[in-house]
Amino acid sequence: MKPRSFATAYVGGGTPSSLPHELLERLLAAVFEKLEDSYEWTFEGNPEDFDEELCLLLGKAGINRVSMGMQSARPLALSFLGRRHGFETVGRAVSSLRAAGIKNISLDLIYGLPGETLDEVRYDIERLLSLNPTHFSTYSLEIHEGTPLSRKGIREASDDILAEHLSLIEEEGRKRGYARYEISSFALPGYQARHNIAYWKDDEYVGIGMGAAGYEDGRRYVNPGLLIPYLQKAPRSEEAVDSRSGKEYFLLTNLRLAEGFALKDYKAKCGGSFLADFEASFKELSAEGLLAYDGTNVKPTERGMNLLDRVLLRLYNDLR
Amino acid sequence: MSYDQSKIRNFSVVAHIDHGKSTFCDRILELTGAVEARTFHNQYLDEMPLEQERGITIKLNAVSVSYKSRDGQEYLFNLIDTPGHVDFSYEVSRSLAACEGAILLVDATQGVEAQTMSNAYLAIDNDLMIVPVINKCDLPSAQPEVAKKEVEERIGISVADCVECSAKTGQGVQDVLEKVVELVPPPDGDPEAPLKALIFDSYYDSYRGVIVLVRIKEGRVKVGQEILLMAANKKYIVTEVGIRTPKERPVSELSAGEVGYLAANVKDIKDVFPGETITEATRPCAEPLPGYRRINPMVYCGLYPVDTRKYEDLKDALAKLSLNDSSLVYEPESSKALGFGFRCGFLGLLHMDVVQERLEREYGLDLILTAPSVSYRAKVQGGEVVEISNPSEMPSPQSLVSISEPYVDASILTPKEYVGPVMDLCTSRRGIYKDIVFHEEDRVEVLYSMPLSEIVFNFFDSLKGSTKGYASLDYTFSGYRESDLAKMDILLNGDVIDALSSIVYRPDAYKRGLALVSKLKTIIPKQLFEIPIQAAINGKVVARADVKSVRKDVLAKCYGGDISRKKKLLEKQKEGKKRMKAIGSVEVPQEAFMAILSLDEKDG
Repeated sequence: MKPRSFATAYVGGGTPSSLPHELLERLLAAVFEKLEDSYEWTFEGNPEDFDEELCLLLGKAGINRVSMGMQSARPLALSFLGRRHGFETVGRAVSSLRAAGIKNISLDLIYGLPGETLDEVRYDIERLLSLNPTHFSTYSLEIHEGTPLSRKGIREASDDILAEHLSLIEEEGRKRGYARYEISSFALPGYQARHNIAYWKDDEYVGIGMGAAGYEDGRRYVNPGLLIPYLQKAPRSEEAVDSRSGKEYFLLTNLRLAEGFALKDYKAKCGGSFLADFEASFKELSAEGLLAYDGTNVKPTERGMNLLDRVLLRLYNDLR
Repeated sequence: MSYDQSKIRNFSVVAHIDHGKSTFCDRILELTGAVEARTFHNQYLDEMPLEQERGITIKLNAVSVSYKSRDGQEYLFNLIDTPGHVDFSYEVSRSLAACEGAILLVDATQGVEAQTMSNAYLAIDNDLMIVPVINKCDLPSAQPEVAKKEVEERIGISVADCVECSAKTGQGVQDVLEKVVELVPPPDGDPEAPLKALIFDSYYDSYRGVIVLVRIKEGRVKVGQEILLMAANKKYIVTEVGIRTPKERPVSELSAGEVGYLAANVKDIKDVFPGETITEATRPCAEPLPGYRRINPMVYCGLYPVDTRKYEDLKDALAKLSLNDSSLVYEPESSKALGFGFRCGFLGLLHMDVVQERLEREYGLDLILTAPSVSYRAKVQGGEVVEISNPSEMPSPQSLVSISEPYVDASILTPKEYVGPVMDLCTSRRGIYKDIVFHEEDRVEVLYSMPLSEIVFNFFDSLKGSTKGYASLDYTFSGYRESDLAKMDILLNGDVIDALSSIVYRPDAYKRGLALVSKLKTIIPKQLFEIPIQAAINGKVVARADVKSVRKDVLAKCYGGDISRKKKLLEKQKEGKKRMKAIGSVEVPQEAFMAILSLDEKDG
C-alpha cells in the first residue's frame, strides 16, 4: 500500500483532551506524519480542557486550529446544558491558545433553548464575537426522543423562533465581517474550515477510532460506537453509495454551502447533467426562490438554506 | 348422509366485546377435536388478520363439529359466529335466524354491559333459547354471583341453568356444552318438503364461484339440483354441498335442520345477500323465509390513491374485495383536487374503516378518504329529483328548489341514569323525540327520529362518551325529509377543494365552518407560503384561518461527518410525506379530509 498523505485532519468527536498527555503526544505525532505541507489540523475540546499546558502541547505538536464548544455565555443556559465551564473559561482558553501560537479558533454557539429570548441570543453572540474567533458554528437545540430532556417534556422551539434567532446571529456576524458560507458555519475571509468543506463537497475522508465516520472508495461507513465492540473489531456499519444515493448525497452535502456546486462538479461526481436529472423540481424551486443558478453554480438562496430539508425532498422526488 | 335431527344443535355465541367470545369458541373447537393442535392458533374463527388484531369479528363464520356428550350420545354442533357492531346488525339477525339457541357469554368481572343486552335482545327477538354463561371465573376479581344477578335483573332471563366457566383455563366449558345439548331444542322442519334454506353468509372462491353458507329449514339440497334464489329470482345448478369442520368437507346432501355450504357457480356475490331464501326451481316453496331486507349502503365516501398512478391498482383491489363483501358498492368518480378515484358505499363507519384498512394492508395502497356523506335528494327547477352522494354534486342555489335527507328511527338502549345526557345529545343532533320506553329494572329505550348525517358525524362515539359506554344504538332507515341544508366549501389558498366540501344544516353552518377551519389549521402543516383556509356557504366566506409560511426546517448538525445519519433522517421525513396529498402547491395530510368528523361536540 502506498503511503497516503492528507491535506486536513480533525481530532475530535467527544473530548480527545481527556487523553493523558504522553499518549496524546504520541497520537498527534503519528497524525502529523501523514499531513501535507500546507495542512489544516483541528483539535476539538471543551473550554475547561484548554489549560496552558495542553495549549503548549498542541502548539508544539503542530495543531493549527481549535474548535471549542462555548455554547452560551450565560451561566443558567450552560447549567441547563450540563456544561461545567463559564464564559470566563472560554476567554482564558482563547488567550492560552493564542499564546501557544494557535490563532485559528472556532467557537460553537447553541440557540433555541426553551424559553430563550432574542435579547439572550444577542448577548450570547455579542460575547462570542468579543473574543474575535476566526470562525463560529451555530446549532439549534435538538431534542431527540428518549433523551432526558425529551422525557422532561421539553420540546424544540417553533420554526418561527428558531428562524428569528438564527437571523439575528447571522446579522451580528455579518456586521463584524463573518460570512455564512455553510448552513451552520460562519467565517472571516480566508478562515473557512477546509476540513469540513471536504464533507460538504462530497469528497472522501478516512474515519479512525470509535464511532468515527468515513467515506472511502465509494463506501460510507461508521465505526462501532461502543468500546468493547470496537476493541473486538466488530464490523462497522457500511453503505455502498450507488448511482442514485450518490446523487442524493451529493445534493445533501453541496447544497449546505452558500456557493452551492458547479454543474461540472456534479457531472464529474454523479456522471450526468444536474439540469436534466432535476428539470422539473429545479424549475419550481427556483421559481419559489429557494434555489438559484448563476451561470456556473447552483446554490441555495438564504431561504433555501433554512428550508434545505424540503428542498432536498423535492429534488429527491425526481430520482424515482 | 342425513343427520338425525334430534342430535343436531344449531347455536351461536353472543357477548359484549372483550368478554372472551373468541377464546370461548376456540375452546369449543379444541374440546370437540375439530382442530388439530398443530394447526390451532388462537381465535380460529376470526380468519382475517384484521379481525384478530382488533379482536372483533367482521366476517361471519360457521363450523360443524361433533360432540360426544356425557350420556354417550354423539351430537352435531353447528356453531355460527356473529359480528358485534351496529353496522352489521342485519347480518347478526340473519345468522341468529339460522340457530335455535344462543350462548350468552358474560364476563364475571364486568357483568352485563351494553352489547350483552342488545345482543341478548336480538337473540330473544329471534326466538332463540338462551344459555347464560359466566366467563372468566378464574380471575381473582371475578364476581359470578353479581354477574348472574345482573343477567336475571337487567336482561330478565332465568339463571337457573347458568354455567360458570373460564374459557382461558377450559374449566367448565364442557358443562356449557352439556347445557347446549340439554337446553337448545333440536331443529325441526320436514326433510321431504320443498327446499327452503336461509343464506346467512357468503364468500368468494376463485375456482368455484360464490360459496354460500346456508341453514336448511325444510327439504334437502344435493349436487346437480336446480335451485332458485327467491329474492334475486335467479336459478343455478348446485355443484357442491358440504360442511365446514372448519375445513370444507363435501357431503352428498344437506337436509332440514343442517348447516353447511353450497357452491352453484354463482359469479356475483351481490346475487346472494344474507337473508335470501333458496328453494327448488322445479318445486318452489310457497313463501320465502321472513326477515329478508335488501340492505343499501348508508354512508358514502370518495376513495383515492395518494399516488394518482395507482388508480388501476385501486380498481383491481376494490373488485377483489367486493367479491367477498356483498355490501360494498363503488363506482368511479373524479375530483379536481384528488384526481381519479371511486365513490364507495358502506353499511356504516366501521365498515368503511375495515375496507380502508384492508385495502391498505392487503393491497399495499396509500389512500385518501374524503369525509363520509349520506345520500341526499335534491329537487331542481323543472321538478327533477337528483341523488347526491357526493357534496360536490350539489346543484347551484339558483337551480335548487328543495333538498331532503335520509332520516332514521334511532333506538338507544341506556341505563336510566343516562337518559338526560342521551336526550340532550339527540336534541343537539337535530333529533325529533318520539318515545321513551321503560323496560325491566333500569333499562330505558329512548326513541328518536334523526337525520342519518348526524349519526354519521361521530354520533356513536359521542353517545358512548355521554353514557360511559353503556348505551347501545340501533337504527333503521325511515325515509327522506326536507331539511334546510347548504353546501359548505373549503377554500385553500383561494381555490375550492371539492374533496373537502360537505353538506351542512344551514343554521349550524357558521359554527361548523369556524370549527372546521380552526381544525384544518392545526392539521395542515406550514407551507412555503401563507395559506388562507376559508369556509364558504354559497360563495360567501363565513370563516377563515391562516396557515403561516414555514421559515426553517433544516436540521443543521452533522456529527463529525456522519452524513449517512442525516440522510436517514431525511428518508424518515419522506415516509411521513407519503400520507400527504399535494393539491396545487399545498400539501394536505389525509386527516384533513376527515377533519369534519372529529369536530368536538362543543365545536359544532
